[in-house]
Amino acid sequence: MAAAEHAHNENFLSRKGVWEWVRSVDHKRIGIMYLVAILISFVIGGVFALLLRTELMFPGKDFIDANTYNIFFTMHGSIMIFLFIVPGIIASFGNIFLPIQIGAKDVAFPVINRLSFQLYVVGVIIIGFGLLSPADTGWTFYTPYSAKSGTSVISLAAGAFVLGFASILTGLNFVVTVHKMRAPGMHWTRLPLFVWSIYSASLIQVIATPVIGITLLLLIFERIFGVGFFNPELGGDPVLFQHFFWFYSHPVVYIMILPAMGVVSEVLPVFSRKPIFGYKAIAWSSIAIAAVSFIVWAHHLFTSSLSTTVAIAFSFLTFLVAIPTAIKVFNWLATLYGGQIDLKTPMLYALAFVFLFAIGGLTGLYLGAVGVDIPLHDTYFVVAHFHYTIQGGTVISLMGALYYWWPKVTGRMYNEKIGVITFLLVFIGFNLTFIPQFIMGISGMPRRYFDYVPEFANYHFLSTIGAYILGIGYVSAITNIFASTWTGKKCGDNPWNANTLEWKIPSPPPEHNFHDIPTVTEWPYEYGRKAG
Amino acid sequence: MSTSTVTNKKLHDGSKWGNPGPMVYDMSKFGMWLFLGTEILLFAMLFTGYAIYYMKMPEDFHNSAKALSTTFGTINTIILIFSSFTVAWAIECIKKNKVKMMNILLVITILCGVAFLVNKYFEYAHEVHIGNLKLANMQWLGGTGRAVAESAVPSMFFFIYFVLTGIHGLHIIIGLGLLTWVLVKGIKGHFHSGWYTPVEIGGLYWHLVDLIWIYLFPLLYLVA
Amino acid sequence: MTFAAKLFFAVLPPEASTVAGGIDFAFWLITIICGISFVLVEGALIYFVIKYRRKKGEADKITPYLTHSTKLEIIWTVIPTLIMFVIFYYGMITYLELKTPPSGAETLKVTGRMWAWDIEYPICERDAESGIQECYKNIGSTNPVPGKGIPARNPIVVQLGKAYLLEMTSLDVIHSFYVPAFRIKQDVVPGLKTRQWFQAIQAGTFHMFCTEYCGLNHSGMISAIKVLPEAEYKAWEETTRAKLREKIAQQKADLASGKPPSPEMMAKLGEAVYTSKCASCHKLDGTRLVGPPLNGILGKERELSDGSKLVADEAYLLESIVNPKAKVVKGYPAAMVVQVSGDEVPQVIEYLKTLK
Repeated sequence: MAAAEHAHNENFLSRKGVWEWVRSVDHKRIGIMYLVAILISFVIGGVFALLLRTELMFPGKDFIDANTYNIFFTMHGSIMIFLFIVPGIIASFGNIFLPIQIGAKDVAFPVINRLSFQLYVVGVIIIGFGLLSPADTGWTFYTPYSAKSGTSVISLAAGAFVLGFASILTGLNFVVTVHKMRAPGMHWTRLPLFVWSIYSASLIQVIATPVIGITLLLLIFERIFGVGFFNPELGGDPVLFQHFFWFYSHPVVYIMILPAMGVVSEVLPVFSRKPIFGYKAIAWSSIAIAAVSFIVWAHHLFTSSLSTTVAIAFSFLTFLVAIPTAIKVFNWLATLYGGQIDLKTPMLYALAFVFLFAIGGLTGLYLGAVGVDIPLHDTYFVVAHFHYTIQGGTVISLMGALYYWWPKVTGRMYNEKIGVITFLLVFIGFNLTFIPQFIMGISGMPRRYFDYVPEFANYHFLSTIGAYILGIGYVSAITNIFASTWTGKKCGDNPWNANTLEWKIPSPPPEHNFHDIPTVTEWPYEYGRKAG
Repeated sequence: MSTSTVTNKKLHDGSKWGNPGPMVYDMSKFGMWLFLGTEILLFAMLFTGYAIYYMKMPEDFHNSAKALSTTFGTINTIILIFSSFTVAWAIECIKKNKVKMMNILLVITILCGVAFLVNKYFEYAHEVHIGNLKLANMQWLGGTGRAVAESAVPSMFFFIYFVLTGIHGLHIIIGLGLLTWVLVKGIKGHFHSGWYTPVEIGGLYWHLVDLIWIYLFPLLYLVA
Repeated sequence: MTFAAKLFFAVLPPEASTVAGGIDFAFWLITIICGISFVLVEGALIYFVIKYRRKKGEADKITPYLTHSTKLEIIWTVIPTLIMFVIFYYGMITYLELKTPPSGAETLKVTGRMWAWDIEYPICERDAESGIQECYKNIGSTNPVPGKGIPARNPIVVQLGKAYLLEMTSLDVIHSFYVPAFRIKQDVVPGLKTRQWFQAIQAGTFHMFCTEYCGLNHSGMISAIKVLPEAEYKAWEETTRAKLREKIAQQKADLASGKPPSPEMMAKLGEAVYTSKCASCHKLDGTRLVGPPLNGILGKERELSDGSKLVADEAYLLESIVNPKAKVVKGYPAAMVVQVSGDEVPQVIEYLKTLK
């Protein structure tokens, strides 16, 4: 009896010390290390964003010079994309909760999982070396500029290459885990939607990442050996680089957004006390999005040198990807209908996700319609559009996931009042930052501009004010949730009264999740019939 | 979700918690196939690049490919096909518990891989010598790159040739490392008919490397 | 109009080209569709949240057990799909209009380079006697100080109501030719010829931006298009032609007299060449940009990228202008792409001699 009690108090965080973290192959510890790493990247990338916005607050050079500005927007983009949002929810909460949600004791290849994080760290170090002479190419590395720029493009590209490897290993691990390690009774139709979304995103990671790998490698060869693959002076085609680049980088936005949709699909039913509406539609639309995402890349090249027919074909395909996305939104709304909606912080973030992502999706329709895209392409309209989908989508959802799951990880509850206030700061700041950017973009303000014509001054000013509010909001929201680790009240194993498997085990979870592998007998959204 | 309990099922029957079992074999093979898929996609992009430039400048490809030595290429192709056969045989041997035979076959496979690389080295050296390796920034490699680069526009075919064979060569080196690791474990007696997953994984990888060469050979050497 | 109306309706730039109206129609159509969808989706979201909100201290309720409805799924798959087709259709027809130049359009040759545009007009004068031909080129159309509004210097002049076909290429990296008021944008790619056409329907001066990131001074690559009504345009063209004739006459006179022009004259011509072709990379106040500063260059000691040193003389300047990659100053990229023609080179050198 005493031994059993002792075993119950032991959890995956019990063994202390840095070495325990470094050597651990526990998916939960790796997930937490990923989480901390990506949040640090997020804050650094955010600081760069604020520096950019400060320069743009007024027209003319008044804070940093053009060269520094170009370096800063490259750093902002690269850090946010490669270090933060691509590993993002998959590597952090995916790692912590995917194995538990399917009733497994770990991922399929725990050592490879650790290798993934180690590669992530190596990638960060390589990119860090590049800071000695920071690249100024933008995160998109368009040739021939990236082949000519006198800055350390190689280290940024090589770092991104290594990070891509880390991403492949994580994706591969999750695909095998979902296929092979589901608990007895955990049929495909009983998988939590978070697992479905991570699974779809992992498939994209495995399929698309090698393409960016080889593209960056070719760019590195071009710089070191003078290979002329993309060099027009040597017979190469610079636009081919864009094709290769977007063949990866378009699907990658779904690597970012699918897990976010998964989080929302978990949070909405729990806090409205209703089953998720249209489980199959949501699960299949994830797979559909993953599939269609591979045949829309050229919509990033509408103004480059596509033939008219190709451009129109890609415009058509682009609209195909909008349909599964719309289906998801409608199903989420239907989930809310008739529920008992508890406006706790995670739910607020989930609702904000639906709100902001709908705006991001609707503005995507302008960009998919090829004729309308032409004047909007490469303007602030595009900047605002992808921030609404990626930040308003993925980052907001990541915040929701933090508030939803951190009490599970630590067993302690955050401060609800501060949670709600910081949420409001984020929500208001976000819209204030990016709505003016939509308007500027329609008026013709090009992106990646250090300086601008005076007509845009008011919009830029508003946007900068919004960015400051947003920055304060994020930092205080993240501080609030992490502070709960030490200051929060104990909240028991299942504070949200949720049904997925992670809530059936103690908080913090035991080292191997389950003492005995559970047998699953029903789907995880059994809310509503019984009260509570 | 209501759950009931089954008997204490060990964590994926893995070696850390029990004997390496069929589940590890199953998962490892599945994972390896996925990984091979990513490798094929990596080369697929290079083949796409090949196709695009071939359509743009078929003359350049025909003429440049003539400069390659078909003899070298054919010998290397035979070496790799033979090594694929030996590694497959090695797997068959361990399934029947013939550890010693497996080790001998692995050594032969590794020697084949080394022979391939030596062959490739002479081929590269030859191409640098006759000036096909006209890469612009090669000065720092000690060649006479500068003079060559200024006098002639390098051929796109040779860019693709060096990138494709270079990355393939890198895969050969990685494959050799993997097989050497398997061999060391084999000599130490880690494998038997009940546990040979690493042998099979290493073999799969080696087959992939060979398979890619089978595509590279006609595209590069026989296109003339 | 009220501020709100201004905010919503004045955000689009003026519709100054023939294609702008069609694109704006598609734009507003999508806006209406998105507006309705926005109100429905966000309205439902907010309504549900308010209506089904859990009130303080409220006990757990039994909520309806709704899991799926095939009918609803079909409805909200089919309706958006149909709407997508409509939007796609309007995107397609506006794009076709944008990409199909009318026959007989006047061709302008556009060359992008870091960080200016060169435009060659088919406005030529030819002296039948000597065979000398001069065509009008707008070299270095850019405004280095974007914060100061529409540049007055060197705008690209076009005629109202005339169709133009732009044949574009780039000397260095990818640029993009964007005129918001015309709703046109086309990337300008080195090694490729891209095409775009327009026909202005409104006189005035309009912004022209580079929208593909092209390095240090990308945001300074702002220029302007000046649309002139026919009469004014004809006047401008006549002045331009007169200047060309003057230039030809000058050349003829030089040829006839057989004596070289005076150094002062050369330096004066050199200054114009410098401003249009060199100034975007080489400053004259001793500070570095992409290339080294060139004030007082003659007689200065230069350290080259291979570590050797030399004193800059006329021969060195000549070599560096004609073959920029031969001797690269340490710490600078060998990135010069601008071509300076044979008769301009001595003029530029003469001009550089005058600087301290």
